[in-house]
Amino acid sequence: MSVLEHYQRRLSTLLLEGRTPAEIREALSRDPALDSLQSYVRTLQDGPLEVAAALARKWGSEHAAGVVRDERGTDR
Amino acid sequence: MLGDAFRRAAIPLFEAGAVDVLEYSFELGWARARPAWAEALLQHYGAAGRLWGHGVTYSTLSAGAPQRQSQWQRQVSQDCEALQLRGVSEHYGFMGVDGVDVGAPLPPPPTPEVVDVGVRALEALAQCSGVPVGLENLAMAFCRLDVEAQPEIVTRLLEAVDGYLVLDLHNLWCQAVNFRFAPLELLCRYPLSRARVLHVSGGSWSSHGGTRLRRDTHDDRVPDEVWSLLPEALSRCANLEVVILEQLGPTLASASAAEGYQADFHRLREVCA
Repeated sequence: MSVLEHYQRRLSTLLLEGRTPAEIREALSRDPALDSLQSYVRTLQDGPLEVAAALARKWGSEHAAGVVRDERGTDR
Repeated sequence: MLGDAFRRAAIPLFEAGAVDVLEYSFELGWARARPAWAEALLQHYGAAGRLWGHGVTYSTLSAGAPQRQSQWQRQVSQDCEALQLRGVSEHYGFMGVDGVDVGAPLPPPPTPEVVDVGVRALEALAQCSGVPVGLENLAMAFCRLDVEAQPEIVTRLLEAVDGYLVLDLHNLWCQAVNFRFAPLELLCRYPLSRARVLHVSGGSWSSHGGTRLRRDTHDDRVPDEVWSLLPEALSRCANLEVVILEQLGPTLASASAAEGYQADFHRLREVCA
């Protein structure tokens, strides 16, 4: 698995788990497979991570309930 | 856009002959059958060469989503045959990997692998669709580096497939205001000669620990800041063919919202004339 795929899988999982921004950054920074991304991981900001986590959890709960969305957007 | 609220809000515009082009979010037709009125509109605009396709869920920059992307390509291929789309576009970003779906496109870390992954995904999309492929700039950014990297990566991706830029002005303004960039300076970092489609929309604010974030929620009228940016973009995009006003159908249910949408549409036509 490539570094990019590993990062995308880890971040997506953490968002779906409802982790806080600090927890997300810590989990990513402790992952030895993501050493090459550490300077980037440190800059991830709280607000956007909170938005992404809320979107992911909303999507996850809708998907589990079998909801079919009438609209798709990038931030809904 | 397939619901009654959108239909009621848009009908006066169609009846007035004011809608030159449609952009269809084709994923909406994959989960359920398209209503007859929508099918008729899509066939009409497709036959006239005035229909463009646009997606959200391809996850263009996912490094590990072969199943998602293969299924998406099959469905797009069918839509291209049935609807005579002029072009097919998607968003910058990734939406998870196979087996893990976060429901919205997110910015990738700016690594060389992102370009390789994105080129492969766009090449596959071009092959299965048989039409030009495009990429839209994303509003969501986790940090300033995401904002700085996106224009260069978009440029490299589009050059590799001779694709077109879907320039979303509201998305660009979201990144500018959230991360303190000058909007016009940020605009000029994008490959504007490749812009064939321009998106104009509204959005909303959310608060996070005392910090406000502008978001691409498509649920309100076009803000003044985007109207101000529009002439600047129009004057710099020499190959622009289409300008699209975006708003989610369910947010147009009230009479005042529908009137606001129609007013924005007419204003947009005037500015672009």
